[in-house]
This record gives sequence, structure tokens and C-alpha cells, in this order.
Amino acid sequence: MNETTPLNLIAELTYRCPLQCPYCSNPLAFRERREALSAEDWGRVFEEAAALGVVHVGLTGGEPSARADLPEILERAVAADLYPHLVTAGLPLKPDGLSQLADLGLRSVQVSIQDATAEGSDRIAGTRSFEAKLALCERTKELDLALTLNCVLHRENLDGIDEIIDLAERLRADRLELANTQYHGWALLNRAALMPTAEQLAEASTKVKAAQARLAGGGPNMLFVLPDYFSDRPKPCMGGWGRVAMVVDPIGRVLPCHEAGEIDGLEFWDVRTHSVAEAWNEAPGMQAYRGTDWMPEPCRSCPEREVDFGGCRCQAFRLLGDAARTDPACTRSPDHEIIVAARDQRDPGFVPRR
Amino acid sequence: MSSPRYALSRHAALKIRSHGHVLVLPERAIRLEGSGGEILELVDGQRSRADIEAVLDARYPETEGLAQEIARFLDEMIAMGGVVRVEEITASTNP
Repeated sequence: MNETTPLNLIAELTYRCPLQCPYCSNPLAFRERREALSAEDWGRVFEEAAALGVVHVGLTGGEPSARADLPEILERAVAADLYPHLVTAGLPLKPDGLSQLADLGLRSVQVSIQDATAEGSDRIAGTRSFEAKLALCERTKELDLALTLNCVLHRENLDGIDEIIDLAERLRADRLELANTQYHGWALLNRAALMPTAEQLAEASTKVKAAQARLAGGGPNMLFVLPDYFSDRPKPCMGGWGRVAMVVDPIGRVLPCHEAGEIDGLEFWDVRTHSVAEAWNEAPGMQAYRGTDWMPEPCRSCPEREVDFGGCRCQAFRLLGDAARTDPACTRSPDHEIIVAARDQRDPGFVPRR
Repeated sequence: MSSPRYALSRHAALKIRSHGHVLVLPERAIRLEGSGGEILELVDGQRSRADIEAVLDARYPETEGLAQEIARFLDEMIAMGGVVRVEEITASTNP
């Protein structure tokens, strides 16, 4: 085992999704790209990833159940001795389809909601979907699979965080991810419409702590992390570049995160032309920001450089035009002022993902 | 009263790779250091802590403090949600 033995594979099966969330993590240009990997290709990726050390696979997208061959892909993940986890918007997969996946060896499910009520959730999703999501959550528990409920948080739904927690409790979710929006892709485009206020975040944080105290060991395990725009330090993005998490995107590239393929000038390799091990270990893009040698000041001499690994390269690229600079979310970054300024930019409405 | 047996929790799995043993939980993977992997291989829903100790004692007769190490590790795994205690069914209906 070494510093770059991956444990988790994030398998982005498709860009397609029935929802139009304004913070969609798909690349802006995803409509021009066609998914490239067959179920058989994915099977080979799973086998090679497991041989490299991977133990857990998140089947995700886009919406993974938009692929008709999802059951076959899952079977191949199970055959490769990976722990299969499904990340879904809750449709078009039906509860009976989920039962079939459980029979094939699915272990855990993450269902996203957009808010605690049908009206709010469907409005943000841009599609009537809330009831389907709840039905899938219920079936997940009936099947005795682990259930994570995920809600991306932003200015419009943060005030309803208590209702989101209540819903997770009612659905008997094992985990609740209260995920503050990360400003990439569509979310960056909609940043001024999604950006919460510091007061909202402080209040939400207090409510989460109160709920954790009230549930004291029972109820869902809650994860709420302040967004990097409001904390002093950047996030240890993906646990470090090319370190523990491997993404394979719908067009077949091995990446350190789902956004890294959008950074200009980085070369990543395709699983159809390279082995997974080569594409993970040797592709120039994978090597570009591994470890600490690439770091500029103030990261290079920072005692926390192996805590946050310099933060997010994609954020540095998007906001500063240079992926090699210190993540501006850090107060020690010479560019931190642009983060501070963005906290106060407010637009009334978001553009749905097209 | 008989001693409890130990089992992996219902959402946990133990994976063995060339780099070592990994405990997998939903959306979580924990690399097992030292004897952790060997202990978890013996956590099968059948063995009690004494049974696990006996197996590892036979395997490593020279090692000091094995019992404490096993107890500490199992407690840690229980707190993390990877391992559960299974109470033995004492009122057996078998003839």
C-alpha cells in the first residue's frame, strides 16, 4: 500500500438526468458528449480497479438509472468484489427496479432530495420527482439496504433545514448529508442566486447541532460542513488529488475528481486505450497535482499542506485561471478577496440546468 | 449466561486486497492496520471474544497483550458501526 492506492471508485455511468438542478455537477458542455462505456467496459474497469486496491464503487451520473443496462453494470461490480453503492435522484428507477438491484447485490443507496416538501423540491429540481424519491427511500429501507438522504443546501432551502432533518428521521435514513453547494459547473454559473448569507449558515449550523443533541445516537447520522466560501481553510478536496478516490467519467477518462477534466491543458487517459492502473498512476494530468511538490507558496511552507492538500485545483482554475495556485477559499491565499466579495453578490433567481 | 458472539454489522463488508484488509461501510472505507484484518476475518457471527483470542493466541504464542489488543479493537469497531455483538440464544429449541 502506498500514498496513491485508491479505495473508492466513482463510476459516472452517464450525463443524462431527468432533473434540471441549478447546481448540477455535470460539465456545462455535457450535451455535446456521448457516454462511451458499455456494461462490458465497466466490468473491465471494475476488475482492474479492484486489482489496484479499490473496495467501494459509487454508481452515479448524471442519473445512473437512466441507463437501461444498470442491472448488468451492477452485476459486474459485484462480480469484481466491490461494495456497490447507488447514487440516484430517485427516478426513473422504480421501487421494483430497486428490489431487482438489491437481489443482484446492491448494498447501499443515496437518494437526493432538493428540499423537504414536494413543492420546494420539485421546483428546484425543475421536474415533478419528490413523490418518486420518497417511494424509493421507503423501498430502500424495506429491503434493509443502507439509506443516505442527500440535500444540497443553498439560500433558498437553508432556512428549512429542520424540516429536512425531520424528513430524514421519518424515512429512517441511516445518514443525512446536508451538503452546502460547491460552486463548480452550473452552480458557479448560478452562484449569486444560490449563495447563502453568513447568518443563514450560522442558524442552520445551530439547528443541526440541536437536532444531533436531540437524537443523541438514534436517528440519522448527520453531516453538515460549512461551505468553503465561509470557512477559513479550503476543503481537502477528494482527500487529495489522485490519492484515495478515482473517478471514471461517462466518456471513459480516469480523473482525480469529476470536474478535473475541465481544466485546460491537463491530459487524462481513457480506459479504452490504457489500463486503469496506467491511467491512474501515469497519466500526466493525474501526476500534475499529486503530493506536495507542485505547491506554490503559501501552501509549500504551510503546516497544514497535508491536511487540505492545497484545497481544490478546479476552484483555483475556475476563479483564478490557474489550477496551480492556492485555493482562494484559504484566508492565506493572496487571492482570497474574490471569495469574500462573492459572499455578498446576490441575484434573485437561478437558471435551471439546460 | 454465555458470552456474546461478534459479527460484522449488516451494512459492513470486509475486503481483502494486495495492500491489506479494508472494512467497508456505506460510503466509507477504513484501512485496517496491524492485526485488525486478521481479527475481523474471525468476526463471523459464531465466535466469541474468547474464541477469537484462542485462535490468535495459537497463531502468535509469543505476542504479549493480545487479549487487550483484541478487546480494544472490537470496541473501536463497535463504536464505528462495523461490528455488532450478537447475544447467544440461550433458550434453544433444539432437542
